[in-house]
Amino acid sequence: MMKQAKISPIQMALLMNPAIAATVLLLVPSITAKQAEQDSWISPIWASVIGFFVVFIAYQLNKLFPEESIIEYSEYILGKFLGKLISAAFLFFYLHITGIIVREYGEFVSATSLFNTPMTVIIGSMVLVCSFAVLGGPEVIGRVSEIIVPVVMLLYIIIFILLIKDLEVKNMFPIMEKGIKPSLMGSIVPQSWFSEFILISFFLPFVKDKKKGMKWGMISVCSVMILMVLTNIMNLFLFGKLTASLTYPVMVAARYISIADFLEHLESIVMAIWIAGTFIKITVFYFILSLGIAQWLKLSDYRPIVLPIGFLILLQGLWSAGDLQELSHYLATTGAVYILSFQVPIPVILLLIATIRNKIQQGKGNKQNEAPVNH
Amino acid sequence: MLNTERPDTAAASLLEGNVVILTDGTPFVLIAPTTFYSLLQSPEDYYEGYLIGTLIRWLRYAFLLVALLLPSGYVAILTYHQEMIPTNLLISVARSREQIPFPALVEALIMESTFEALREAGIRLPKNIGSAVSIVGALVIGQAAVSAGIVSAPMVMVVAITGIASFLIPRYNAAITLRILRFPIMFLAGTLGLVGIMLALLTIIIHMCTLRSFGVPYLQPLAPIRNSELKDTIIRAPWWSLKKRPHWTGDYNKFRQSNGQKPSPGKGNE
Repeated sequence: MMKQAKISPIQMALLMNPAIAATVLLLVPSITAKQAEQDSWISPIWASVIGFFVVFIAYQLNKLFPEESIIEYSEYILGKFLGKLISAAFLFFYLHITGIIVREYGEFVSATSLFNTPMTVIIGSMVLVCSFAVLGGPEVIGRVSEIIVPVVMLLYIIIFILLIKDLEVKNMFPIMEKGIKPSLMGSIVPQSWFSEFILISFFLPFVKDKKKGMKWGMISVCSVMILMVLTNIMNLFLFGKLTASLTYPVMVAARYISIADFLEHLESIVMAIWIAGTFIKITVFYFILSLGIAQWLKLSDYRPIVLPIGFLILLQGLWSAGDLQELSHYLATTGAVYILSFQVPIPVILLLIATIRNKIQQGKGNKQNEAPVNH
Repeated sequence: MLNTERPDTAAASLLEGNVVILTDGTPFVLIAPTTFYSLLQSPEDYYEGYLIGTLIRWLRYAFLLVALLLPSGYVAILTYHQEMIPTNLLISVARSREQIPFPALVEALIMESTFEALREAGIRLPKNIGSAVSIVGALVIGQAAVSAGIVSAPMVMVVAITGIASFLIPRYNAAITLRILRFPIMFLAGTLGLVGIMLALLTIIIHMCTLRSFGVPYLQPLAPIRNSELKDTIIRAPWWSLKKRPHWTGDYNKFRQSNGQKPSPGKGNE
């Protein structure tokens, strides 16, 4: 049932792009600017290295187990008990992360337009809409992203073009004034976002054309990197060193647009872009969570548990942080390490053990095959 | 399934490789499978030059969104996002709304439902009385309601534009869906503002992505993307370039016309 649905590699790439970039676009400029200052546009390039690395690992693991997700093959690799333990940790981690994403969305919406609406309503309505998409399965998520992502990109580029008038290239200089270190420091938080590309290992089993999966995964990482560099450059040119002190620099940037006294206050467009992007992001995480739990419990279908999980996500979203300051601080400090530590070492260790075991098994197999010849 | 009364539409669908079902006792034929874009295409697109056809098609796509979103957008902006309107416009809108006792949402609901009622009444009545009804409707809605201070003048404009926009959709079954969907979106706009509209749009997109018509994804060829078929959906490509049939129906016989149809000046010796 679950394995029948197929998505194309392009859909996967389009789906992963907002799954990483959506929250990034709003929060990253100020977080990187704190560390990297005028070099903040270099940070995403460093950070993307980890994205490429993670996609590579996910692809290699997928080559070994073409039909399974990370939840399923961790059991094959590490044995039943350890595998279950690791995947349980993974799932709890994703539950927490999804809660945080949902909360980011809620904080953003309540800070920009719905000041008096209770958080439960804002988050709950979004989770409900996402659950429709999750119930539709990977094919539907893929198609939805195929429609939404190009539109979102187009609007984003339009905003960038409209801002060109106000940009100051001078803000960029001096490049690498204090050497390479600040930009590297600034890349730590984006790295944690790029490590979320490990989610691709859940989608690779659904991809029709496995060989192109790697290529499009890399293209997806590239596109996210370009998008982040563009965002950081835009904010850097516009605000200079002010960027670090703003919560939502892109939102403030959109406020600057004023053309012919008519095109003004385009922050609502940013909001629309952002809601659409976050929608895909939440849907992707939500889908992975439901699928992962279903695989972990060996259910034949993940659909019955979608709504209960949505409820859990809602609660996680409400509990994950007291307010935006706490959330932002968490993401900029402990959060980065926390996210990185889950998403990079575990797959690497899994891949290492799997390759070693494969080698040993191949060795054994060869010996067994050779044995009769020797006799 | 699509229904049509026009022989040219039926013939073109056959040429695209669709199935056409004729039934005894009805002037309509059924065409299967249907995609979302075939609901938005009108045969007139193909009788004009391709530039005109493309422009008309874009106009239709734009007004599809207008028909769906204009009243709810108006409600959302007036209730939650006043800062989006340029100041001068805001002042004139505010002045016209000064005496209105209702919130924007109620106003929009009253006007929209009156308009829908008038429209249905116009269909049922014979032609001669129908025009009388539309005159009464125009006077009642347009003039009297504004001067009585029940609805504001901008609201009347919004409703009128929405009404005209919904007549741009060539198929009745597509247009009526838009008319129905307009009301829940208006409610969401009145409660959650632009966020509500976005949520409604997302839900509609999700629903359309789950649909299939006889195994063909409903939003084909935009999702899943088929580059070669986009030229007959986003634009109306010239006749000579529409060589291939859509892939979902054209497996059996891929080409609908021979090569070399592009007009060009004759070669010297011909």
